[in-house]
Amino acid sequence: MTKKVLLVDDSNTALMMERMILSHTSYTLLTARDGLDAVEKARLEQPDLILMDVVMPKMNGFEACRLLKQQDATKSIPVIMVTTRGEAENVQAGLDSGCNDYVTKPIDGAELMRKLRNFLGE
Amino acid sequence: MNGDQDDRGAYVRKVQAETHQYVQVLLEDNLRLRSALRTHEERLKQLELEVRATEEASRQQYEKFREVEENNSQLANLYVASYRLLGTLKRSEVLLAIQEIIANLIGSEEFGVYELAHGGEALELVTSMGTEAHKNRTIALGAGVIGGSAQSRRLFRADQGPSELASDPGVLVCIPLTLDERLIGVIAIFRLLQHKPRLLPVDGELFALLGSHAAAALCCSRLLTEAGIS
Repeated sequence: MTKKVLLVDDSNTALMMERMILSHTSYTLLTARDGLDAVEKARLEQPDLILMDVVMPKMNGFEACRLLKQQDATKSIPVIMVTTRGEAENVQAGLDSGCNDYVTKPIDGAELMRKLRNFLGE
Repeated sequence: MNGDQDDRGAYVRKVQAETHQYVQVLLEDNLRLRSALRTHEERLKQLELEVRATEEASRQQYEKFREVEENNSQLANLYVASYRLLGTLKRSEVLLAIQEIIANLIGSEEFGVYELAHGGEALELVTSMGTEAHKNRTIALGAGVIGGSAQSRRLFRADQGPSELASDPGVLVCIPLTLDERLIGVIAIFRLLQHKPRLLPVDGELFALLGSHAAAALCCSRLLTEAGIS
């Protein structure tokens, strides 16, 4: 069965870049533009993995991740934070919110693919 | 008595002959095995050479793969940047696209985008991220590294050594935005994200693309805004 990946970012550029990187895979790609939208889409679509930006309107990535991990329907979905803040304290904040891993922007396509495959069991 | 001695002699001779025969067989086996060993040793050396050649070919293939992957990544960055810049004529969207390209693809949250204003005598800040750009919202053409880069229409990079442009430790990159050699503005990048220690080859490509495409996008969007169309 085709794996589903939910891309969450308020930046069209970032979303487009993530789509380009994942374009040669067979994953079904879904998008959300903020944390609230991400939580709702995750509940409805049950993606196999979520790529979550941090700084977003309405609800940031940390808050969205915390919420996802609190809900039975979504707590087992792995979340990879995609962040411009690669400092140790920000990484720790992400891990504390429940995310499973992180990548920094600008995104290294090869690194992203490695992490995706690691979580999606390929 | 003589019969016993003859028997013993015959027995000894028999044993000697059989021993000699056995030794000959052993010697022949030894020679045969030595020859087989030499053949196997040569084959082993040959296989080791083949393994090393295969490993070297594999390493070279991997290097080529990495190069292709790197090229693909660069092309993807340029495609996305180009698409975003030329995909809209709305001024606000153009400025947002420039911001997103610098933040997401280059990796900076301290930059300013300036447009030529004041009758072509100065640059005015039109959008920015971070706090550095707000220290000088208006820059006279030719003043400092930002004004100098704009006036000379030359890219400035602090990581490429001394420049004829006045150096300013606070400025990392200045990208003049030009359309048909007409100066439209300049992008000044003050700092990279903390986890990005240096500029990469793809960043140079993005600077070149921004220099022309961002200029065209800004120019077109401004004309449309002035014409009351967008």
